[in-house]
Amino acid sequence: MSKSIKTVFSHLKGNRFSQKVKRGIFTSSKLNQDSTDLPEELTTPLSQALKSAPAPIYAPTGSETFQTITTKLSDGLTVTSQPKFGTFCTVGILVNAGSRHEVDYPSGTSHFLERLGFSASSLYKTRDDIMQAVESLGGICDCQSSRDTTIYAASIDRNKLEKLIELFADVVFQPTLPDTEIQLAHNSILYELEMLNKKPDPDPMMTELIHEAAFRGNTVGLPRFPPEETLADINVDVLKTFLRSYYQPQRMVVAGVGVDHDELSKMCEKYISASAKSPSWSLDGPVLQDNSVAQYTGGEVRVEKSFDLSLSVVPMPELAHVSVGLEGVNFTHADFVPYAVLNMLMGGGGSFSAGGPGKGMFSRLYLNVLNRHHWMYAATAYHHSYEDGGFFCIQGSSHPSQLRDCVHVITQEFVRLTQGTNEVELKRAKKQLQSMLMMNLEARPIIFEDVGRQILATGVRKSPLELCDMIERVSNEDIIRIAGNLLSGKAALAGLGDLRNMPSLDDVQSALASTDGKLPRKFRLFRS
Amino acid sequence: MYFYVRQSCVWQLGNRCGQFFFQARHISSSSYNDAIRNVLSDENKERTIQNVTKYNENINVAKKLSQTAAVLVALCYTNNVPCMLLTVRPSHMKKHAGEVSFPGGGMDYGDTSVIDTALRETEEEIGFPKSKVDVWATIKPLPDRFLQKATKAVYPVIGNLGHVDPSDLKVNPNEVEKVMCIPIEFLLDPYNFGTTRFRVKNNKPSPFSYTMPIYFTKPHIWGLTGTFVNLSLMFLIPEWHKPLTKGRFHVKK
Repeated sequence: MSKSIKTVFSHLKGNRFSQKVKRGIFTSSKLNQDSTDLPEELTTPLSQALKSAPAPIYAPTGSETFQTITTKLSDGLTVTSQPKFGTFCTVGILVNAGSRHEVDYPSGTSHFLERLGFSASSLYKTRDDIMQAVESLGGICDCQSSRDTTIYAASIDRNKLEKLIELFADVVFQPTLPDTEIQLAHNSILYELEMLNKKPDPDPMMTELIHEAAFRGNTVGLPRFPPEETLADINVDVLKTFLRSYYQPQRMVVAGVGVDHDELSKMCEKYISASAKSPSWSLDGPVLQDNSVAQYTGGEVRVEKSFDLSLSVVPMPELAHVSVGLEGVNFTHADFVPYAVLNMLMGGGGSFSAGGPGKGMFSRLYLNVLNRHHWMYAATAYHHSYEDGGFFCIQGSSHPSQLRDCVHVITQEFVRLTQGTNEVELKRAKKQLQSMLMMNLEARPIIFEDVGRQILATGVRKSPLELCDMIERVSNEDIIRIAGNLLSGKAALAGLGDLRNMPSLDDVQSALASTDGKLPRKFRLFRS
Repeated sequence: MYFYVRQSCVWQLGNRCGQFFFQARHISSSSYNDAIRNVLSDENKERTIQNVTKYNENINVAKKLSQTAAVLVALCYTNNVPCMLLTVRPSHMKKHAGEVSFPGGGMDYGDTSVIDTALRETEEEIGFPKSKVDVWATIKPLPDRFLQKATKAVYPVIGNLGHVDPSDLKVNPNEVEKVMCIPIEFLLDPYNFGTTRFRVKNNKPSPFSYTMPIYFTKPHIWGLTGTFVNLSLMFLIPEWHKPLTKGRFHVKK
């Protein structure tokens, strides 16, 4: 029996193989002598260097290679870059101009400029020419504007950087703004507004309304999507004045990910600074620059609207939407990270969400609100944070007849925050936030936006590791403290849809100030 | 040209008042520290009263006021530094929860003048006796909600409380959460000052867009209270306080 095993497994002993090695798979003229005279590669232990091999050059360790480098040019333009391995790079210009700067202009001016981004300029006759040029550089480009920033960015092959910078300098500072393009942009915005009104998705509209309620009539509360009435007022003169007032090198940052910093600096100096000295909108003319500080006012905004429910084959639910907001902090504040953790803790989303790992199914708004009340269609927490102010809000959706209960549930959740969290919940929220941060920062365009926005707003970039540390240090006491801060200020209330049953701002204010968060009782004989 | 001329806006108080008071430079001392030390002196009191009277000449109050209110712009000495005394409203208040304001309130039937109202409310809110307040001047009112209901008026009354230790005050917790004594030097520093422009109609710029000051104290001083602080500083130390202008801004980093 044993013999048969031996024969069966004899090939595994390696007799034949090891003999082959000994005889010399590495056969060379030197080795034809003893079987013990093995090549150096086999006799040298791994802890020693091979004598015949060239001396190794070790890659430098430490965080210096991954630090964001920032320098300022003579005209005030900030150039920043983040080293990253790869054949492609993402480069862009971020301008400190957005809908918050539109106090002196008809609303929607910066949105208009977003539509006109990468269109006719002095070197490129039409938008198609620009797209073709960028394609030849190996990539894509896009312009995006938000409440406080406008970004012109492109992702291209990193060897073709110079051509791209030249293109940027031309497109941003030498636009020709022909009437055809302006008309096109006008029409496209009208179409976008029509779609916004038709679609039952409340998020863009609700974001506008809650901003308006929280920051009444100033900076961030100004509408980002232009209302139809003011669109007609936007003409070339208005656009040129806006560009003259806000598109100045000292308000801009050129950010690059995956590029060499010195190269980028030199090219910016050569093309962008030169172009900025004599832009197509001419430097003499009226300058209307607004540098207001965002002021949280609180307040109430109601928009009665009936949604068109016949758009889909399946019957759509009739919904009313409400958002309750409280004053938060700006993103440079020491408490910004605890607020971000709080946002993750509250979480939320739609009740018909598919779920899955990392989706936040164990966040408070799911466990306490959506899982318990079948009539709540959605509940989401947001923390909108800007350079000089911010607010935290919870947005809920339900059938119009249950709007009061919807607000009731939201105010109760707010007040429950003052009782703190348990360890598991807090740990989960922190881990989710850290993982979301790290996962998103694996994508190059997101790194670009992160670097650019941080440098534009604060002049310094907090690395992801620093942020993860700060997230780790958030404790239960922090959550209780910021919940107290939240509840000590004025509330902001926004409603969209059939709002007959929406409680007043006073009711919401008293609910948030009470110990249990319940709305004042209303005696009603006939429940509608 | 599309853009409205903002100089015609009635509520550009800063620009209008600035014309009256820069003539006063030669009267008091020119050095900054002296000016701060002398803010609550008798000499400055006389000058402030003159400035207020000059300003009041140009303000017309509506004949019928639906509600009159008064606040006490309380000046005091705390830790041997001239300060302004402000209160933080508690969070359970229905109106203006958590905001910073001066002690004050609505006029009651028993009050003979707005000064009475201001002093009575001060006593009720922070427990500072009426008799100890040295009233300097009453500034003609500004409406409570800018340009919306011009018949509600709030009269700021400038008064000197003398030496005050905030911990000694008997604060009424229903109306006041805490008392803040902000040094006048802090309020004069342009680093702690910003402006916010508000639109009346949210879609278009209008000649009624107004500018309001904001002071970066722990809860920010803004709104009507901020306007009172700005006005009062203009009357108290015109040579060291620039009047309200549009668009001055910095970011507190």
